[in-house]
Amino acid sequence: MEINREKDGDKLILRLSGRLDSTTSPELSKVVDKELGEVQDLRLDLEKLDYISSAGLRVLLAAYKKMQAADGRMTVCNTGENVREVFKITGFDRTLGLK
Amino acid sequence: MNIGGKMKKKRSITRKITGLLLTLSLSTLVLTGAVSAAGFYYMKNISGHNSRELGQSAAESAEKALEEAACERLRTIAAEKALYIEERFCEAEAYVQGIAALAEKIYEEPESYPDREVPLPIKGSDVLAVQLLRSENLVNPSEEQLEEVLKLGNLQELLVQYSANNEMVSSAFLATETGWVLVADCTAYSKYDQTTGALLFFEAEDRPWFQIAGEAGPRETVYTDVVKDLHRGSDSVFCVQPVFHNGRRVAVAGVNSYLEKVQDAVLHTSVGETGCAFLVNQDGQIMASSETEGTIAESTEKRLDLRMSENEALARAVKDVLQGKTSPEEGDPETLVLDGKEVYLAYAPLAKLGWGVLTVMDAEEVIAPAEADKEQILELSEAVTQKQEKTIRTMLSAFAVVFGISVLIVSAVGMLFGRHIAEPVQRLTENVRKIGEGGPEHHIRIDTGDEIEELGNAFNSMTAQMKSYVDNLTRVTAEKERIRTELQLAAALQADMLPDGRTAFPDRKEFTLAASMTPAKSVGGDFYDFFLPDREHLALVVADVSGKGIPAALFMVVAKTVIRSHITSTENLAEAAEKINTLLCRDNRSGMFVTAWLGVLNLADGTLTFVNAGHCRLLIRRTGGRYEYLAEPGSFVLAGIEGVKYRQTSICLAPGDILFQYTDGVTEANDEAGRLYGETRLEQCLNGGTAAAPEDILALVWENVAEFQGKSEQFDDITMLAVRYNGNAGICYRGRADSGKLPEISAYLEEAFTRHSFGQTEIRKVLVAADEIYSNICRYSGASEMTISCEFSGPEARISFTDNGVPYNPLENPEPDLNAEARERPIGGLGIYIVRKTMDKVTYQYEYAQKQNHLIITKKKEENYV
Repeated sequence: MEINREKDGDKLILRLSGRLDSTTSPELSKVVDKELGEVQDLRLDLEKLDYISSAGLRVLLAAYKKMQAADGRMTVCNTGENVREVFKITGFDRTLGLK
Repeated sequence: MNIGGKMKKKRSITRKITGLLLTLSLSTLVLTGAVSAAGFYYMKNISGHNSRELGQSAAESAEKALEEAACERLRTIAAEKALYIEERFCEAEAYVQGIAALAEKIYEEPESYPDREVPLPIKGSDVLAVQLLRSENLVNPSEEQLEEVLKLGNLQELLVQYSANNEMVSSAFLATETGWVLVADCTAYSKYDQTTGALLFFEAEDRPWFQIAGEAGPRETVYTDVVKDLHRGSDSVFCVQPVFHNGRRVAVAGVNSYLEKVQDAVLHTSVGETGCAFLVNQDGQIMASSETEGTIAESTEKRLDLRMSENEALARAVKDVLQGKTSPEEGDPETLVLDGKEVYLAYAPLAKLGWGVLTVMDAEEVIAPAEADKEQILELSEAVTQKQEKTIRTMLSAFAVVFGISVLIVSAVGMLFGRHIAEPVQRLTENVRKIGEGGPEHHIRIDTGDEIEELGNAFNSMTAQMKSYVDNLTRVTAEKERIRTELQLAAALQADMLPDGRTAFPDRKEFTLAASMTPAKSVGGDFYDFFLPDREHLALVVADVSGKGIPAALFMVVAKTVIRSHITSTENLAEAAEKINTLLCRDNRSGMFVTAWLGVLNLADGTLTFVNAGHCRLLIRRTGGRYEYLAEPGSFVLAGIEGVKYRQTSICLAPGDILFQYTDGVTEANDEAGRLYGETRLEQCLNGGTAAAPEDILALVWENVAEFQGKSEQFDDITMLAVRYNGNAGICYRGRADSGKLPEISAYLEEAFTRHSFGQTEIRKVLVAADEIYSNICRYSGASEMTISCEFSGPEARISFTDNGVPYNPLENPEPDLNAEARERPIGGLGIYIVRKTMDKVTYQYEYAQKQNHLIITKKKEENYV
């Protein structure tokens, strides 16, 4: 998995590509832990993400909780079919306020 | 045997003897009686028949005799009557001739005779006297006429005499042509007119007798018809003869005969009681008859000519007699039916008169005595028959009594005799029954001194032998039973020692195997074994301990244990064999040895390493090829000589290759003719079949061997082992259960699913699911090892996860609250939920035997993705 970071002030865009699974999610988790300090607006672009497993979901949920705690906001966009289906199955589409 | 049966038997013997005696004696009696009775009846019948015949014959003879006698009598009577009557008439004729002769003489020589006056009839006299009557012509007679009468007066004594001598003669007379009549009779009174008292004239010319005489020749005597006597009115016949003088009739001499006498003679004829006689004249008329009624009665009015009678037989008889015939003396008596009755007939003619006398007699009367005789004889014979019947009845009654008495005596004798025989038999039976009930200790005591006693002794002897035999048999049977039970237990034990190929390795896809061992006896020395010394290797053993039965089985246990404990890897198989040999050689004083084939298959790369310790050659079938014996040098048997070196051989198996190993029980199986099954037949059998599964291969060979053996007994233990190497296909991962292998697993699955034409969407779902389950096992199961394999079947793919962690069924997890707010959502529990939602089927089971968790997910190809 590759994580593309684009930081602009308190705005952070993470573009994920490849697979977000039990092997790769710790990477994202580290990135989130490191970069999220002053970020008020976190945007996750999942356009190039092949699939996501529950491990990835946990990272997303953890990030989302963090953003909420910091009164920031996190948005997920450009979800592909597979990812969107997982979101739908798990109710993450509602939890994360997907558009 | 029950009491009823015993009683029945006893009765049966007694009854049989009684029955036999009864049958013999009574049948003899009955036969004799029957023959006697039949004889009596036959005799009676013959006697009766004879009596009847005798009666009949006697009656017939008598009848005939009587007939003849009757006819003789009839003839005699007829003849006598005829003679009598004829005599009467002859006398009269003689008188007539006498008168005529004297008158003729007087006419010729009148001078020789004195003149004698003839008195006139005395008025009113009925005394016999000669009287002179005259014709009216002679009222005034001439001298010549007076002279004539005076001369003729010399006849008067003769006339009176003739008239007096014969009572039949009523009058004797001479009438002249001139008209004189000299008559001697008793009816002088009638010569006078009753009223005037004047002497009546007598016109001789008018009389029939005078006319008849006129027709007669000289000295010819003729008779008139019956005429009524002028004076008495009774029937009479005139016998007359003309008197000629000088060729001229001058007078007629005659006698009047009353027929009364003749008639009386006829009338008084008695022929038996019903017989009668009758007289017929020349005209066939009945002149007199002793019968007063019927055809032959005398009729005063109209006399019929019997010759014209409708009764032909009578008419013929009358004709015959009037023709002067006498009834024939020879031949059957003449019979005819007269007035409805059968009568005998005889007749005799009266030649002078041309008349006939006939006699008849009732046939019934004639034969009546004969009939009476016959009746009497028959009565007598009937009486005799009845007497005979009575005698027979008496005899039969007596016989019945004898029969009854015989039945009683024979029955009694039979019963006594039967009991005499049956009693010892019954005792013998009772004793034998006791033996049957109470065992062979019972002793039979019978002292009848005959065959039954011998039989009793024979029973005693048999009982003793039987007792000894039974004791022996009991002991042997108990021993055999104990051994049999132990053998059964041993057989069960031995069977349990051998693993079952069908259930041994459910999770090993790299190979399939089947094995069987069928001992010739309860237990055998053959054995096979297979086990996994480690995850990568499969150890295979087929061995045959020398000998059979319990010794072989015991050694087999040792061998199997030692072999299993020493095979660990492929590298040192020969070394392991040497160690095994050394161990087995120790304490092997009985010289047992083992032929064995030991093999180790590397499941990852298909390398088969084996040691052949004096065993059968391995049969191998390469994929697409045929079964062939593998040529290899081989080594010496195990447990034979200590310190022997063993050689190990390695070959490489490709997926689909099949191994077949066996013991010589297969190739040395015998058919009924004693021929061996042989290696060639085994090879042909394997190549002839289409079986691919090891289990089917074993069944194929077993059936072929069994068919070959036919009815002959299984000679040796038969052991077979078939292994199919499937290759490493389908194993995604096998190894330690730690995270970090996911990329490897994912790569394998992605490649496999792509190869099986699954879509990208489906592949990604599968990869997510595999990640979820794999990471779960690694994190939470506590397993040390795990295996992931996948297999494809049509549009379906199955991925199974096996681990040796704690039993845990993830499907029992509660479903996560999908609507919870983000801050409230738990971190875990989503993975298995995703798996269940994205896969078509998820199953879990825990294998207790292997102590393994099995989770299997199934995914079908999808056409539309939502």
